[in-house]
Amino acid sequence: MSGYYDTLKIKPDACPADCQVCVDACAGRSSENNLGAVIKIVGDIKDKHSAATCYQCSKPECLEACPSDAITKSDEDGIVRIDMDECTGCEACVDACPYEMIVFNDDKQIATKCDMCDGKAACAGACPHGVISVDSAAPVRKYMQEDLLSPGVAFCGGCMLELAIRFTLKVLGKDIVLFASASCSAPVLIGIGHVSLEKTAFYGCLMTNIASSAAGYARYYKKIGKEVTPVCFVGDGNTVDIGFQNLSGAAERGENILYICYDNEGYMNTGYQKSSTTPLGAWTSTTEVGSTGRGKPSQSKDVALMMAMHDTPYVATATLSNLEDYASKLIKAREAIKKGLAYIHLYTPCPTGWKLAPDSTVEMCRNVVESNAFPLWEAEYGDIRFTYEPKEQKPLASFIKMARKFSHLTDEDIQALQENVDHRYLRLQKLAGVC
Amino acid sequence: MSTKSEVSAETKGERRVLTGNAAAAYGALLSRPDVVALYPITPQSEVVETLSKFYANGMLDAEMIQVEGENSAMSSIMAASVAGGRVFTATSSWGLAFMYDAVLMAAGMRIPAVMVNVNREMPGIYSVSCSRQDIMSVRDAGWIQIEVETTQEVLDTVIMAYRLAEDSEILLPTMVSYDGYYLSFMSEDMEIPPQDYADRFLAVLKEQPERLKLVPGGPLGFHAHALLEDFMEYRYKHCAALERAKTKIDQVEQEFEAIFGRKYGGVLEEYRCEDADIVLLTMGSSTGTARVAVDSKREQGIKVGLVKLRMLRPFPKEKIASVLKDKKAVGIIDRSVNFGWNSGHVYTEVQSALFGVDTNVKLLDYITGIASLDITIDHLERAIDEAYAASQGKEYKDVSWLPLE
Repeated sequence: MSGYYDTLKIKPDACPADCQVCVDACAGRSSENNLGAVIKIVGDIKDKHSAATCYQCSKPECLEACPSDAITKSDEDGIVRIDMDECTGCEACVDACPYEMIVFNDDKQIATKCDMCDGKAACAGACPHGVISVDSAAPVRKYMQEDLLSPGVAFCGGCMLELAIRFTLKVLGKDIVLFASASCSAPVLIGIGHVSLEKTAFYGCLMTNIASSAAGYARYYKKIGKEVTPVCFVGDGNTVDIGFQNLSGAAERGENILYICYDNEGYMNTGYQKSSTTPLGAWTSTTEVGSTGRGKPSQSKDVALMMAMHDTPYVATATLSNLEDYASKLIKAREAIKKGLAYIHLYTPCPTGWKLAPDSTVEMCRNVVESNAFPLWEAEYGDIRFTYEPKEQKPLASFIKMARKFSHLTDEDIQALQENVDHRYLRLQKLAGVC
Repeated sequence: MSTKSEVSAETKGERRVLTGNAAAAYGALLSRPDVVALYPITPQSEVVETLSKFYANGMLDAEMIQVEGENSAMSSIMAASVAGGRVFTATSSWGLAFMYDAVLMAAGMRIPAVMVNVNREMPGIYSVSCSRQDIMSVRDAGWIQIEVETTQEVLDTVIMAYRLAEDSEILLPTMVSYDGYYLSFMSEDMEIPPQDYADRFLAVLKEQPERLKLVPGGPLGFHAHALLEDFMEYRYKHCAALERAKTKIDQVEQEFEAIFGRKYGGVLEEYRCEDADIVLLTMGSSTGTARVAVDSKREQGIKVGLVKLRMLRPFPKEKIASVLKDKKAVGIIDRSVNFGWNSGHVYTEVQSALFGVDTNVKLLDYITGIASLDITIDHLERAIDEAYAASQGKEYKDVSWLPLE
């Protein structure tokens, strides 16, 4: 399917001083289009520079600017190419590219750019430091179905929910039935008046009855001998506070439903009140910071682990920095509901409620994974295994104050949180039998 | 529950001695529900146990969800109904309170569920005893509510409730309630009608326009956020459907009588009312005692009749007004307390029904039988005597607490 392409992945600020290996490899690539290197080293600071080349934009401004239609974007591999025979050398594309990634060849008086060596990327093959690689979209393509969510939805800027819902629906497809409830996702998933923003059938639940509603729906289909995929998609308050009883009951009974809890660590739709997944010390509007208040005084519930201890067929954690991991878990969960309840705990930072910059939410996801604060694992009938393990644990202190809900924390406070993270990770390792 | 059975010559049904709870379970069984969700609570547990036996014996061809609480019972059957199924549950008192948000949702969603409620005191003062405080607490939920008197009526009304709930002109959740500890555990000789009677009686529903269903891949969502005039229109239509139920119940009963040979009077049953000057108004299990009291007072020459109120919601205000307006006095037997009015609930309901009606009828309210206190013949004869005295122009007390006052 078009739309999901292999990309050249370049780690930023990761090139050693004076390294030019990729540039040389690019200049020497075997291609009839080779008019010299189209990758370059950028960055002013000598010890923190990066390789950079064309991003193969989804809506290339160079293509728009070209007066002779010499530039095309391939539906097949997503690469933006310049037809040497059609290029008139006007340099409109050079001026149009906001990233300055079109190279003008003065000798031949035509423009040229990276075409990823048609998928073989000489730079990636040559880089001795693991900075450049080709990121294959094949796993993503495998899972992706139709986009079932409206292009415009009512979420805060930078909110993870649009990505979470769009991606979840793309993977699971149109024939699921969504069970949603009062939460951040409610205005989108359970419609407003006569308008609904997703193409799937949906059922608006109470906060107390999401799993039991989905279970009842599934039971009728069981009675008539038809397969169905009820998918609960609700927040952490619904899941771990007011709605935990019916979720636990549904898991115990082995109801054939998929339950996804998107965890934004509080009641974020209604003004950032604390929930049972709000971390220790975090500011919320009901765990204020003042002369006596120091944020939330208690630990969060480890809900995913609680669900795994129900010995239900499938439980997993996932987040949006690791989409392939999430996609594969969705697929497994959908399969697992033939045997019982499947549960996915999806970490989704809330820029508004956490006071986190809207462009930092995916980075936050990555940070909690790399720090073991939100380990990625799955469990079949309670047997836990990690699906990703950071090579080097990132300390909480290095990123936690990105979310200003933690801005009041002292070094000791952060140390206490770090110890909690380490304690839980060690417990998980023991359960997984890896230590 | 007796295990001895015999076939009745008249109806080919099976005659059994059954409790009210077992009768409720048989009513559900004969209605062939697709999904049954249950959670046990005294004094309803026998309903759950009996249906569980039916299920284990292969008699009940339904998905049986043994939920972890009443909220999930109501919630599961709501979604199963939206999927397209016929659904059943049963509860009582504290359980009804625990499913309250789902009870409201079922009404707003116009879910054609049938639920049995076995009347019991609500939490507040810890009590394991009968009253109708529980069903009165959901008067404003938007359900159809019917209170019944005998075990036979329990079974028959459960079946009839599906004809009300699932009727395309109604589509409302319907509650069949009966007094816990009295009717729930009382055993009576009764008939379990043949399955094909129930099938024939309920087959009409299949000929009606198919109700909207939530279908995978389909274009519909359910329980979306309703706004402004849309919301008001839903409420308007809901109330209109409740009004239609007041006459629909007569039509349903007529058809029931044609097949089963029994009837209960629709919204209310009158007993010796025609020439009566005064009337006792009861609900549910104490009605039998009231008949005895009425008969005994008739022998003494007092022209007393009896009204058994069956339909609590929608409240049959027109029928109540037409039956009571020409009477001189009415003694109302209330088995619940209407806080803030210092009366029973039925009393204020009847007062409202008579407002604006050209009548001089005097209403005397008797709060009795709460906390499983017996409603005795003495109580009812006192009510008749006092109503009679009031009808003769004597002074009377609006509300009396029996046996305290």
